[in-house]
Amino acid sequence: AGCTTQNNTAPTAGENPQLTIKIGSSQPESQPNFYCGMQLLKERVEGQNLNLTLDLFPNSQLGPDAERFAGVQAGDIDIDLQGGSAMSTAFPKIGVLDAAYAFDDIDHFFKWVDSNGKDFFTEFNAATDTTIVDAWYFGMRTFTTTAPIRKPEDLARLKIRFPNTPQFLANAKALGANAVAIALEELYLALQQGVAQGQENPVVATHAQKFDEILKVASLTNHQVGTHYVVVSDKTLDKMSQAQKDALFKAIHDIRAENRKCVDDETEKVIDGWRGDKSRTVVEIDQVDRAAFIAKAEAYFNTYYKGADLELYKSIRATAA
Amino acid sequence: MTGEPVPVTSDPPAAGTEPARRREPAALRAWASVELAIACAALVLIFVSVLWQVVSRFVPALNWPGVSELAGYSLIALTFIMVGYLIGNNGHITIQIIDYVAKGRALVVVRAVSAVCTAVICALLVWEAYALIRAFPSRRTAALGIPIWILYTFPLLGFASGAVRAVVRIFYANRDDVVFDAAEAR
Amino acid sequence: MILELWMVGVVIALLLLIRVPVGLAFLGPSLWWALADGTSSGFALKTTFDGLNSFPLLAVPLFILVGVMANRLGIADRLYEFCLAALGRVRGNLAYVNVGSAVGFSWMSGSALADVAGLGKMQIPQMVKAGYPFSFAAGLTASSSLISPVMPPSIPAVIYAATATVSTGALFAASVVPAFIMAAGLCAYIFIWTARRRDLSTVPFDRRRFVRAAIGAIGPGLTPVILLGGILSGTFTPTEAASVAVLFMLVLGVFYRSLNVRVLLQSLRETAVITGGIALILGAAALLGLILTRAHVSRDVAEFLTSVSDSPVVFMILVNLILLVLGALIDATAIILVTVPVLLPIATDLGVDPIYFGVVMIINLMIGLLTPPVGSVLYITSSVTGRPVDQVFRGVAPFLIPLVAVLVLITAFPDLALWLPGLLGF
Ligand code: NA
Ligand code: NA
Repeated sequence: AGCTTQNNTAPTAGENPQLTIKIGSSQPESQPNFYCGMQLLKERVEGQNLNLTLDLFPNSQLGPDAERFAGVQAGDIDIDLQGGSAMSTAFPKIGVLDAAYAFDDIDHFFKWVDSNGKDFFTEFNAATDTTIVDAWYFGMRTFTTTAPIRKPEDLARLKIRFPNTPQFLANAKALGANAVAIALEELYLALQQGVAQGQENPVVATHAQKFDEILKVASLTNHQVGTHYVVVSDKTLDKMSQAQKDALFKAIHDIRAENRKCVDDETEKVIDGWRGDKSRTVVEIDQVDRAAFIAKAEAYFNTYYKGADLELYKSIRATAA
Repeated sequence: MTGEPVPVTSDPPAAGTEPARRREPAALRAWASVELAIACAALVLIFVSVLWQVVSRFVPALNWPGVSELAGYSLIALTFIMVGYLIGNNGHITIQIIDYVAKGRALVVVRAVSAVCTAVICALLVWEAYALIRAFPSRRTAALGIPIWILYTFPLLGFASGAVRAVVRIFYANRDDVVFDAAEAR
Repeated sequence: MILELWMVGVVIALLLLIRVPVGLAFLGPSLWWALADGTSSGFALKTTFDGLNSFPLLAVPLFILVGVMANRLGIADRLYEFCLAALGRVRGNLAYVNVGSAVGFSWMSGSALADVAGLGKMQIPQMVKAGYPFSFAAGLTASSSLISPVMPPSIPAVIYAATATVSTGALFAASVVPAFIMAAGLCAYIFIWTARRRDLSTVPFDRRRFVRAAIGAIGPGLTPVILLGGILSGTFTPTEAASVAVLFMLVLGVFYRSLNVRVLLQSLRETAVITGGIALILGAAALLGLILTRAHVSRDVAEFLTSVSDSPVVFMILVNLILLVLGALIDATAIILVTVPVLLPIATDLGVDPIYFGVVMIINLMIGLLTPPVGSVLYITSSVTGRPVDQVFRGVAPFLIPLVAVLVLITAFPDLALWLPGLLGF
C-alpha cells in the first residue's frame, strides 16, 4: 500500500509510511484481551498520528491459532496474540513455557520474561521470522469438572478434555489426568452428554465459552500460567519507520499491566458469581494440595524433557519461589 | 446404484454412447487409478482414525493424540489428489447452463476456452504449492510432527495432474463429454 | 477495494458460465485478488488447505460413505419394501411410500444426492409402471430427497455448525421437527393430487409380506437408534457418529451377506470421487470467505442491511429472498461457507437465534438443489432416469409450492425449530 521499505536507514519521524496493520486473536470481543488489549492498542497507536491504522480481527476470524501464526510468519497477518503451544510447531522450545506448574504465578512469569526473555525471544526470532514484543496475561488455567479436584487422585478419576497438542497432553500426564481428545467445536455437546467430565482453561475463557453452564465445580488448581504473546511479523516491521515501531512497542509494553488488572478483575467477577451460586462448588486455591501436584509435575518433566528443553525447564524452576 | 451403467441424458447435449473410445491417453488412465487408490486409502484412514478416537476414550491404552490430525490431513490429501482425476474424467461439479445456448462449433469453442482457464488456474496453484513448500521448510504438524512441506506435495501433485488433464482437454474440445458417473469410478 | 471484489465476483461468474469446475472457478480469481492485495505467494492455497482441516468436516466423507453403502448393500431396498408392504392399500400408496422411505433413508444419509441417486433409480420406474406420470414421479422423488439433508444426520448442518461455531447436536435436534413438516407438506400435496386420480392401482394388504418386510427392515431401522442413542448417552460426538454409522453398515452388510470386497472397493471409490468434488468447493469457499473477512465485507453488508431495517422479521424475509436467489445459482455448501460469516453476526445482533437461523438457511438452500441452473438433485434425477433436465424440472416445479410453504412456516414460527433443542436441554 504505497509504502517504502527500508533496510538499515530508518526513516526520520517525518516520513512515516501509511500502513494498515491487521491484528488477529482467538478471543471474542467480550474478553479482556480484546477490550483491554487489542482495542486499547488501536486507540493508543492511532492516536499518535503516525499514519498507522489498526484493523482488528478478534474471535478467530482469520483462522485457528496455529494457522494464524503461520500467517504471521508469511506476513499475511501483521500482529497476533498467540499462546505458546500453537507457536511450538515452528519453535518447539516455547512449549516448555506452557509446562504445568513451571511458573508459580503470573508474577514469576513476568519476572522471568523481563530477565531472560531477551535472549529467548532473539532465538525465537531467528527460527520464525517473527518478533515477540511482550506477553499479555490470559489467566491461570484451572479445571472445571463434575466433581471437585483437590489432589492428583481426584483428577485420575475423571475424563478431562485437554487441547490436542503435545505440550498440553504432557501436562495431563504430568498432573496424572485421564485426558481425552475432543475437537473444540464439539466440546460443549461432549461435556453435556458426558463424553468428558471436565475441561481446563482460564476462568474467563471457560465462562466465555459457556462450559460453566454444564460444569458446576471449579477447582482453582492454577496449574498453568496462560499468556498471549504479542507477536509481530518481521515483514511488517521492515515496512515501518523507527517512530512507528517505537510507538507500537511502547504501547504493547504499557498495556501489559492494565490488561493484567482487567483479566484479574474479570476472573474475580466470574469466580464470585460461582461462589454465590448454591448449585456450584468452588475449590479455593488453598484447598488444593498444590505441593503434591507440583512434585508430581516436576518428577514427570525432569524425565520428559531432554537437552536444551530440560535445561530451560530447570532454569525456570530454579527461579521459583 | 447397483452396477449397470447410467443411461445418458439427452439434454444437456447427447454424450457419447461408447465412453471407452473417448477416454484419456493410457498413461493418464494409469495415473488416474493411482490417484483414486490414494484417495481411497485416505478415506479408509479417515474412517479408522475417527473410530479410533471413539474407542480410545474407553480403552485409554489406545489414546494417541495423532488420530484426529491423521484424519484431518487424510481429508486434505483426498481432496487435492482427486483434482486431476476429476478434471480428466469430467467429474467435477460444473454449471452446465451454457449447453442450452451454445451448440455445435460454439460449444467446441466454449470447451476449449474452459479447458484453457482450468489449466491456467491449476498451473497457478502448482506455483502456490511450490511457494508453500519453500516457505515452511521447518514447520511440523503439532501431534504427528510431520514436516508440513510433505503435506503440500498433495496439492502440488493434484494440481499438476489437473493442469496436464486440462491441456489434454483443450485438444479434445471437439469431442462430446462423457457423462461421469461416480458409481462407476475406476 | 470493494470495486476489485466486484471484479472477482464477475470473473467467478464468467468462469462458472463456461463450465470451469466450481471449486477452481472460486480459486482462480480469489488467488488473483489475494496477490493483488499484497498477501504472500501461497496464501490462497494455504487458506484452502487450512479450511479443510476441521474435525467436524470429517463427517462429510463418512456420511457420504454411509449413503453409498446403504444403497450398494441393499439396505435402502429393505426400507422401501417395508413402506410398500405397510401402505399397499392406500390410494397413491407408491407416492406415500416414496416420502416414507425418504424419511427412513434420511436417518442414515446426510445428503440429498445419495438419497435421490439411490431411491430415484428404483422408485421412479416403478411409479411410472404403476400409472403415475413421469413428471410427478420424478418431481416427488427429487423433492422428497431434500428431507435427507434436513433430518439429522445432515451434511449441510455439519458445515453450518462448523462455520457458525454452534453446537452440531443442537442444530440436529432443531432440524427434526422441520424435516417432518417437510414430509407432511409433501404428503398433503400427494393427497390433493391423488384425490383426482381414481385410476392409480393399489395392492391389497398382505400380512405375510408385511411381516417379512418388517423383519427385513429391523437392521436398517436400528441405525437412527444407535446414532442418536450413542450421541445422547455420551458415547460419541455427532462427527464420530458418522464413523460408527459406517461400521454399522459394514456389520449389516456382513449380516445380510451382501458385503464383499468388490462392493466395498466400489463404495470407497464412489465416496472418494464424490468427496473430492465437494471438498474442493469447501476449501475454495473458505478462501473466498477469508478474503471477504479481510476486506470487512460482513461489516459493510451489515451496515447496509441494518440501514434497510432493524426488524428481525424484515431481515429474515430479506435473507430468505437473497438465499433463494443464490441457491438457484451456487452450490449450497459454498453459500453456507461464504454467507454465514457475513449474515450470522447481523442475525445475532438483531436477536435472531443462530440455531433457528441455520435451520431456515438449510431448508432454503436445499430448495435450491431443485432449481436450475445449479440444481444437483435435478441433474442426478435426470441422469438416473435418462430423461432431459427440463422434463424433470417441469415435474419438480409444482412441488416447490409445498416446499416454499414449509419454509415460510418455519421462518414465521421459530419455535417449530427451537422447541426440541430446548426440550433436550441444548
Ligand atoms: Na439425514
Ligand atoms: Na439450484
